[in-house]
Amino acid sequence: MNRDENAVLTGAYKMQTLVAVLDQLCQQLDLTDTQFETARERYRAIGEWLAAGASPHLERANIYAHGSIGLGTANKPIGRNEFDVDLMCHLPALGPGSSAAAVKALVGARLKEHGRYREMLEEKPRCWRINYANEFHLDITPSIPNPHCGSGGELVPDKKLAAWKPTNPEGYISRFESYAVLRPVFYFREALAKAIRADVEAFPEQEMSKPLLKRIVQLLKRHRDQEFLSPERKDLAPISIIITTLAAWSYAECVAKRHYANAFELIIDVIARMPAFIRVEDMDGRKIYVVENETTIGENFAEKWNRDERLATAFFTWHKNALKAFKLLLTMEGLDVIGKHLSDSFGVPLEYAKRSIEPQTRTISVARAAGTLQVAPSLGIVATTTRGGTGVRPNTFFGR
Amino acid sequence: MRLRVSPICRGHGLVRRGELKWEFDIRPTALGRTYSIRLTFKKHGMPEVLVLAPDLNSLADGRRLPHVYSSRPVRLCLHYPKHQEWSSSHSIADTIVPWAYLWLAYFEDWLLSDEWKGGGKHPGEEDES
Repeated sequence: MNRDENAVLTGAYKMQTLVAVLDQLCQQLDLTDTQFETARERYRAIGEWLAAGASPHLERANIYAHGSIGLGTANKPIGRNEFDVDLMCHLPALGPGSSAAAVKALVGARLKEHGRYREMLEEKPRCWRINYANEFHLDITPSIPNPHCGSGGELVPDKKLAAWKPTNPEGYISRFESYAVLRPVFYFREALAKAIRADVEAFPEQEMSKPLLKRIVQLLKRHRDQEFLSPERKDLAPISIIITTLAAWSYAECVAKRHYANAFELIIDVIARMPAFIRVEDMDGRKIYVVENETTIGENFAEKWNRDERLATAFFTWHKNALKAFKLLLTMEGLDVIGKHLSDSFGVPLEYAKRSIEPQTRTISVARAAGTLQVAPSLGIVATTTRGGTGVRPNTFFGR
Repeated sequence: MRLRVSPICRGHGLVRRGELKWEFDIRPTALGRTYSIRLTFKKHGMPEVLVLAPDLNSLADGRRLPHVYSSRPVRLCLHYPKHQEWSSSHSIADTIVPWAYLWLAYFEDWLLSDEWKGGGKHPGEEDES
């Protein structure tokens, strides 16, 4: 192996390790199964309560989760305990002739008939929020069928409750899932095994415990949350649906068209290519940004950018910083430095960063106790047996 | 000499007045820094391992370094003499060098976690073996 090959090997092995660290970080941001189940029980009960209402318009009311909970990309929020659970309350008995304001009021009135819900109820511009203290906010948006959408889309009230606008949360989720199941092929594992004369099985592909696309979205959203934490910047934060959509399109294209050494290289490329999926149209010399909801007709996720250019600028600046935060992981050296960077960039307590990195050391200690620890050229300590490596014999650190 | 041919401690050095000096770099783990090491060894003596750079004391930011013979210069304590984990019949490249990797791996974890997870003995501790 020459010097260049060594450097490639070292870099790729580092990427491999970073994938494991990032996955550990995400696991700490995930909802627990219990939290997920509790939320589901709660909103199912609300759904049943609504459907049992006296109004014929509430007949067959169906509540389901959309947004990050439905997509599997939810993160624990920064600085509070409650998760946001976005819910759609679909009312199939209603047609587009009904008033958006009246439909919203109808749902609110039924919720108020329930003693406990009434106490926890809070009105939002487009939806009703039920606050379960220390657990979650359940945001319930009414929706009705969209007769003009061929793919099962729905209509939801606009911000002013003056009209209905098209959306398709269920269609969006299933489209997102179809992207998330696309499996990339990585070539680094074989190269690594060959270079250090180990069995390929000795280096299992570093998989994430959730589909990679979902992890990418979680990390990007978390970076966004951290970057727009201050009250004066909060309103400029790129909305999750734009981040999610661009990441999904970029991921699908990268996986289909390109090959990567490992998952980290793919993550970087997916993020780097996201802006290319924003359509920019020219309307009488004015830039119009379009991030289309491909699962229905007439929903532009970037609609607000066209009324407030600062939002577009904020997205592009954030995107650059997010990409940099990921790339910096490659040049940073030292567990302490990397831990601090994770904590700062992804808005997590240092404890989270420590727990993300700790398994690396634990693996070393386990292999040391089992007598299988080695030092491999270019890689350093590896917890696996290679033919080119030097075994680490038992020792006792001494000294004060 | 094993040091010269071992792929995990490629470096340079010389023997002068019966003392071997060997300098090389160690990057203990995939996420680790690169450390400059000087190994010295006199016949009938014990090999000594010094970390030349970066300065571990400044990385430790005021905390006392774990498992060192001295902190200026930084001399690592890699084995327990009474256990005879090392003797002159052992190759330094197969013992002292991998232990230095291991020490540095635990050191970096310690920098982050404030916990030394590599075990070991402190002078004055009873040896139960």
